[in-house]
Amino acid sequence: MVDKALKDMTFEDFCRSVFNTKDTFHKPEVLKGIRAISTTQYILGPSCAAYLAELGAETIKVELPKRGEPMRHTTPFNEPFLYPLSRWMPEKGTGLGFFGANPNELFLSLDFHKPEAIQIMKRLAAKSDVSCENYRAGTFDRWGIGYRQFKDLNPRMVYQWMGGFGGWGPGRNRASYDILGQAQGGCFSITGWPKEYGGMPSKQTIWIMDYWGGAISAFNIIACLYWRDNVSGEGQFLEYSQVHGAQRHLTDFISLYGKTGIVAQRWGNWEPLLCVHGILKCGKSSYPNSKNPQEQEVGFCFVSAFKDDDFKKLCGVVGNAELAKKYPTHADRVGSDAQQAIYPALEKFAADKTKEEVWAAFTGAGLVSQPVWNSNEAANQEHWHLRGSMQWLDDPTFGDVQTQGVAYRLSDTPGRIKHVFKPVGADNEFVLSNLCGYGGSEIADLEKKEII
Amino acid sequence: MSSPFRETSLILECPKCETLNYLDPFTFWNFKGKIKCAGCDAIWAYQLVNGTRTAAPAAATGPHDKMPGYAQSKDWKTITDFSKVNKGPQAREDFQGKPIPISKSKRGNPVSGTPLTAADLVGSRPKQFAK
Amino acid sequence: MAESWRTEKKRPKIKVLPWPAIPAPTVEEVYAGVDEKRKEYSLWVESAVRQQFNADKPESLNGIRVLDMTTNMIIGHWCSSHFSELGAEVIMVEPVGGDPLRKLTPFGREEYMFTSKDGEKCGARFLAEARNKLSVTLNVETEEGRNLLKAIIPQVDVLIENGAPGHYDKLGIGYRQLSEINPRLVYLWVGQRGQWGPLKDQPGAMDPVAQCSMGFAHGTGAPVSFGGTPTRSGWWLCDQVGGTFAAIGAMAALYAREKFLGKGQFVECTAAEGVIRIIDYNWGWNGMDGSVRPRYGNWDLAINIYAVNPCADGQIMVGGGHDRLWFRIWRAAGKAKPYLEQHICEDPKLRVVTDRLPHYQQVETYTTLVEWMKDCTRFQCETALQEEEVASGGVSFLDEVCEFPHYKYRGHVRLLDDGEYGQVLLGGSSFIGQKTPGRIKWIGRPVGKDNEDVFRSLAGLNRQQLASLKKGGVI
Repeated sequence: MVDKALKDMTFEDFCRSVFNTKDTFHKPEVLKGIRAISTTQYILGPSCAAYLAELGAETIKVELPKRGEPMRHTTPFNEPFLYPLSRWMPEKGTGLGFFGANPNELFLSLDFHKPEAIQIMKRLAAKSDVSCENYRAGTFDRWGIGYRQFKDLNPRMVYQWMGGFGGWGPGRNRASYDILGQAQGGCFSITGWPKEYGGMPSKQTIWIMDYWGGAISAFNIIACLYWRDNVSGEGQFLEYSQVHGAQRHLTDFISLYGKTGIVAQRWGNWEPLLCVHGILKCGKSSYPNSKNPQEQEVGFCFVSAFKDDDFKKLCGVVGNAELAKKYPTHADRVGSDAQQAIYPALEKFAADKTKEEVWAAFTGAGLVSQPVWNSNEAANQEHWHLRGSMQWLDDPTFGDVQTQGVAYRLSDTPGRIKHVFKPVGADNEFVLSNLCGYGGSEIADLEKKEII
Repeated sequence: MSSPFRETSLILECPKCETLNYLDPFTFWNFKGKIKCAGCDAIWAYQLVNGTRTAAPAAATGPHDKMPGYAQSKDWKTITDFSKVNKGPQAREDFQGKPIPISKSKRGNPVSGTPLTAADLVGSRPKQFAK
Repeated sequence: MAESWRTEKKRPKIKVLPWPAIPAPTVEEVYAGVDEKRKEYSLWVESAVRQQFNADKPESLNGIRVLDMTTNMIIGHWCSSHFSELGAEVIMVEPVGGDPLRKLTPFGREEYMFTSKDGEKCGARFLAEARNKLSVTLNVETEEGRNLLKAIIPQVDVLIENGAPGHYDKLGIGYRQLSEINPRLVYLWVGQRGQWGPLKDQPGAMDPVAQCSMGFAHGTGAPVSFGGTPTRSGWWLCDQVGGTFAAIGAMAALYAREKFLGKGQFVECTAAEGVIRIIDYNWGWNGMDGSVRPRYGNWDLAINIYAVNPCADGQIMVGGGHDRLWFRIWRAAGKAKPYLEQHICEDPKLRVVTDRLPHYQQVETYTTLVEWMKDCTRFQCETALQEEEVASGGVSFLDEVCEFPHYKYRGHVRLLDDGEYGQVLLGGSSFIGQKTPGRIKWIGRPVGKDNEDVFRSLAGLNRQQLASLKKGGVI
């Protein structure tokens, strides 16, 4: 329900006021009181736990003592790091590969090879609602801290196993990473330029199958918590297979293959379903005097004009009335030969312009258009910062960092970012004394024995 | 003593100066043309079909078509001069491939991007960010 | 008549193989020669989560009713697929005549479309995301249409729409008005760039708008020095990622409603922001020193080895950044060409994980690696690397994906016996679980198939009223 003042506002003011990022911390959290253990590495598992942490779950990330998980040692071209890695290794830093997958979490370090660590895990499990795990299938079961042991300690636990191929079936022993998902799920094969244009299958440069798989898992976890709390009272075992998720992206291509035998191929920056709906190369750089090589590159601009009227307008803007006559209907335009004729004709218009000039010309005519922004241009958009999907955060450990925010907005119980991550083992004392019943000298002892 | 790299396809060992020129598979998977050795500037005619060379490098005269993606000498000395090897992608102009100490963020506020000593820490937190 | 684009005549007839061309492996084949202890765990998981037993199990979102009022974008349909796979009743509310997406088919080829029992054609992109959903038509631009919507709103838990910013509000069926009728309603808006903020009035369309507006397209593809340009994803990636986040948002709102809030709320998610959330370190890096993420083709900026490289019969992925896997990869290469392994292991520049990350070290690594892989097929590389327990796999094309034994065995790819559309090959639900797994019951419905059922049962309309609404173009 909406109070009177909000009712009288314009719609935009109403949105700005209910989604106002300044009010975020004055509102309740969805998963307050839910505790999640995250015994995960790389991105797939950690990101799943992170999405729960954004919603307010108390998420405890368990990683190896001192050096932490492998993702801390990845950073683009070995350049940027945030210090310290841990209190034991102050001179070493955490690479930015760790960014975005671990916000809001508590950081516990634990060496699973020691029996005391198993004891600690069991104590945590007894008090937790969710466990995210991505060790090789069956490893935790063998160590006595898998779902089958946890369910006896805590039947309400939702246990999410995540990994490449799943714990059963012919590929169960295979390891996986994001790009393996992309490769074996078929995502590679339909991205990039076709062979005739000298192209090869191309990967999505970001770790999409990890982050997106984590999101699918997080949705399933919340749905299972919903079922647990409202219907059954029971926890359960969930499995997420990364190659499966990757292949789930391509459902319509799979159906097409089954029906017609067509093996979908790449179509570059154009769109097989629609025309015009593609990215044009513009001939000029927007920042010819910039020192940054990325900014010296020529621009690209997306334009969409698949409806007949829009296409006529587009042909007007590019000054090629012939084109409009030649391809009057969408059926005429969308064929592959037609696309190969139309896009180069449009690119002639853009050949002596920057992407902003092309953008202005198209939007001026009322067409849908969007320049291809690089990460700096995107980060400079007030739009994303205002909406909270990007933000400058005064991180308690690392200072002034620019980070991604929560992807979605909730008017009454918004998610939030409290810190981007912490050094390895930063919350050892808090977690062990609060949840596992260890005293100060016992914790010091565990540290000396390199268990934490 | 014969070097195993004499026979490799994508690693062109310069027959003159023994520099190892790395012909990255991105650019050179299928290639026909002249390559300039990053060590001694000798020009070699070279052809690769699906990553496999069709014949040993033949001496040729300039101008070259392409430079190798990277090169190093037999005793591990790197050659990364842009006039000798293909320029890599750069996120900034002063890109160097080494950890850069950063004490201020883009907008000028302190950020902990610089190595710390144990004395700089309180538990897991830096005492202060910038000097 | 315009010059004909149709080159159908030239196109060869493709022989459609029955699926599966090779039968899925049997349980005995899969677990042959595995030691009992390991087999015991695998068989336990298999019995707990195997999808063929799904129909015996409850559904976690049973009893939730979702109205999916989005058209012309996949983001809303993708989002509601999450709910429908987990058992919510999802009703697609389409404009009269159906969602324009139904008409889309690659290169306009009608023979690629699916035909329902009554002869109506539907494109695969739409149909694949109409799974388990009911289809009704409703024209909300008319007064009667809006009244009908308001009449059923008290019985709806989640409403998803993607109208132009503020359009539904202006029509009197926005969050502000509908939450008066049903305070427990979770109202979700989805789109490309948002319904408020400086970019809101830039019209959005389908996916690549989002891919271009947040740095994804600029960062995908090969760098200029390798002859590349920005590249969009071949599928509507931002819509799908955004749709998943939208589903998390709506699910969180439902959970909060039941747990403590007692009422619904306004939820918003966009395709661009979904990918902004997951585009790893772009913003952090840019914030530290103004760096702009460059494209890096099929290699990775932050991990070495983690790439797709060419081999004798296609491309092969191999990954393993940290030391243990690094040396195993070289051991696999060294079995065929020992001098390559020796060369890399002796190189003083490549001893420390992070020291391997600069560009020129990556060139050295991958060129040396491909020097081995160029002589092997995808299968040979995969086998050699898997012997060392390294993650590796060939780039699969669609036919290889559909015939991949692992997928066939686990039911990731399966034939759905659909009442309307016949036998459809399909990617199964990726919600795999022990007690409340996701499932697919039907692939989709023709336009307005469920008008009568839904409006009779939710709004109490009788035969006469339905007929008059239909005549007036309201449904």
